Amino acid sequence: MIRKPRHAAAYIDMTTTAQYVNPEVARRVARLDLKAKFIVEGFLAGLHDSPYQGFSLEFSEYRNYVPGDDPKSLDWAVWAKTDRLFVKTFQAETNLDAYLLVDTSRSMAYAGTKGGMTKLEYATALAAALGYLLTSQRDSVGLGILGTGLERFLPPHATRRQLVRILAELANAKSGGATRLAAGLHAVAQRVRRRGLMVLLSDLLDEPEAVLQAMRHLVFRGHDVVVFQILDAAERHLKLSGPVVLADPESGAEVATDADAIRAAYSERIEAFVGRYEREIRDMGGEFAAMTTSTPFDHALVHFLAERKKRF
Amino acid sequence: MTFAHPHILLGLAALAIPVLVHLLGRKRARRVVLPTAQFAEGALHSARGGRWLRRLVLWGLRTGAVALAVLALAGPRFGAASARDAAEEVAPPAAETPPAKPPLVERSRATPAARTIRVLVVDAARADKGVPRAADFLAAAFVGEDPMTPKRAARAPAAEVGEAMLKDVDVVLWVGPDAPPSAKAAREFVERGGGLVWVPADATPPASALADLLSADVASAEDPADGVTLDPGGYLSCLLGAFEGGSSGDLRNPVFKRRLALTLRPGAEAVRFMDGRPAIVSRTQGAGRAVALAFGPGRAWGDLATRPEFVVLAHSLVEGVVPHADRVKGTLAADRAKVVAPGEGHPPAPAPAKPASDLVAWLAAALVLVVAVESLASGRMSVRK
Repeated sequence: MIRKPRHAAAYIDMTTTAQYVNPEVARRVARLDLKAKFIVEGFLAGLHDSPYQGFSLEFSEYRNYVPGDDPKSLDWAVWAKTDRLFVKTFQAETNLDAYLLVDTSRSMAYAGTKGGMTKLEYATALAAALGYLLTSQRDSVGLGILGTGLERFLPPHATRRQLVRILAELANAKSGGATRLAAGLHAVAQRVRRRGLMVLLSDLLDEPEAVLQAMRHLVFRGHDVVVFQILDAAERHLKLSGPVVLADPESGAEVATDADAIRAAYSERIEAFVGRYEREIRDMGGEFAAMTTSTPFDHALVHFLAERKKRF
Repeated sequence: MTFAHPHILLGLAALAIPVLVHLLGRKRARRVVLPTAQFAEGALHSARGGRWLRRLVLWGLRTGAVALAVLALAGPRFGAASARDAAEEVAPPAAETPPAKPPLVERSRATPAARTIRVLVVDAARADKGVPRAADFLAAAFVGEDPMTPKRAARAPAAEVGEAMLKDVDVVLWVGPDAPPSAKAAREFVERGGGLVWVPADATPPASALADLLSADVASAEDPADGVTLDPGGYLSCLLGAFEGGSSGDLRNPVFKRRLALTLRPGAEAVRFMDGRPAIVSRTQGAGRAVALAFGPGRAWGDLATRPEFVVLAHSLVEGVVPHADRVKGTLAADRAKVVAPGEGHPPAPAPAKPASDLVAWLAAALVLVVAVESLASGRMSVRK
């Protein structure tokens, strides 16, 4: 029996949803809940060749086989008895507490030189998608909004209402204030007693040593850490030219220079900055993914699933 | 270095163009919000040196390109060749190419741009075939040819001397007795501002037009207080003292240790023999000046004019009579003297055109610089990682 979709928008054509992992496409969807759904559905649609297929572990139900399903998921015993093809579906374990930690400092409002998706929009969309994915797997999901500290915190729950609350918080998240990422992470570490998976979405434009120290604090508390460093392509590669006055949105400091002249030295410094985070986070057993606001969302989701799989 | 077209050098004012290009080409910096500006600040310190050097090189190349283009159009000439070319623009080259003149000690003080003194040797002496004469030696003092085998192409017969021949001549060296028509032309030549050196040499008649020109005041001339007094046999020692190697030396390339300076005052005896008779007298006539050696009946310089030492005296005399307008401070008129063949003292011909290859080479160099500048400016030569 085919269940009729509750909303027209919820009826997803799996052949076209894969495009929603592209930030430019996902940006056209205004509602965050739909955006999260489309991203996840698009991700799953493109996951057939992925090694992370079948990440849910517990059997949930049978359903009719439809072309495109993996033959490995067919239950041959049922086929032998009924001469009909059924596919086993699984549901996720529910013992995972995942925390989505979203940086909302002023630097996250940067949208690049072409006025595309801001880093915060990218982070909230990715966080919503992760929340949707986790909720779908019956995982408990919590949320932390990091600004000048831990500004908002939702304890983890594995309910649909929790996803609604998370999406509402993410939709209302506004960037502003100076980055106090380390203070926010320390606050999370102090607040969360039970071991969980900390997913940080930030540009990490803070004092690296302080941030890394806060991450070590989380690790010390037994948490697993997944860091998505989100930068704009203009930040990563200094996609500017000619004489410019570069203004730091948080400190207000200005640097007058020629973008073409410093591009090489700038790239060296930014790569060293990113490389240091990657090296240190991996050394502490965490997962790190550097991405820009044009990186497809499935790239982040794959990293997340890789880290989640380590726990089982 | 001299230039065929010095006025084009005013184009060097175009050197300001690169500066203006730099100033006008400066783009107004736009303000860009960039959260990672802290990394730009660090990169700025490391990139500043290279950027400054690149700008300096760019400015230098642009300036060099403009300067090369202007210099190419101005027609530069280098070293000794430039001085010779400049002289050739004033006087046409003689039929006989003048060899290098005797290297006077003071030659180095000569200003390359000083005007060439055109000397015409008038040969009125008796022609004894195969025997060197005073005119040959006198011409050799300036031409450098071998007096023993003179070509005599640069001699003007006394009978042919006229206004046309003297038109573009500065100094006349008259050797031997004069002829009345020619002497009249010589007198008018002096009155117009020319210089005349008369070397009677051999036997000179007591009464001559040139004698009239020069001897009028000799009898009442003042004693040369700062002049040179010679005895009939002693004047040689005075002149010989001017030579490095005593009386020896090559007439064509004598080496002097000092230049003999004679004070040639108008209407006065410059040099007097010990017996009181004048040895060299000078006189101002009109706008010019004339000087004569051994003037007077019964008095002769003997064989002096046929000796290497005479070169010193000849140079000094030419300098003494050179037209006032051609006297350049710090230069030796005699050193600039060039014997011209009769009829060669004509107005200067246009300067020969510079070979086109020179201009092309200069412009090509300027073009290369321009290409380098543009490559550098467009960043194609910059190293990017």
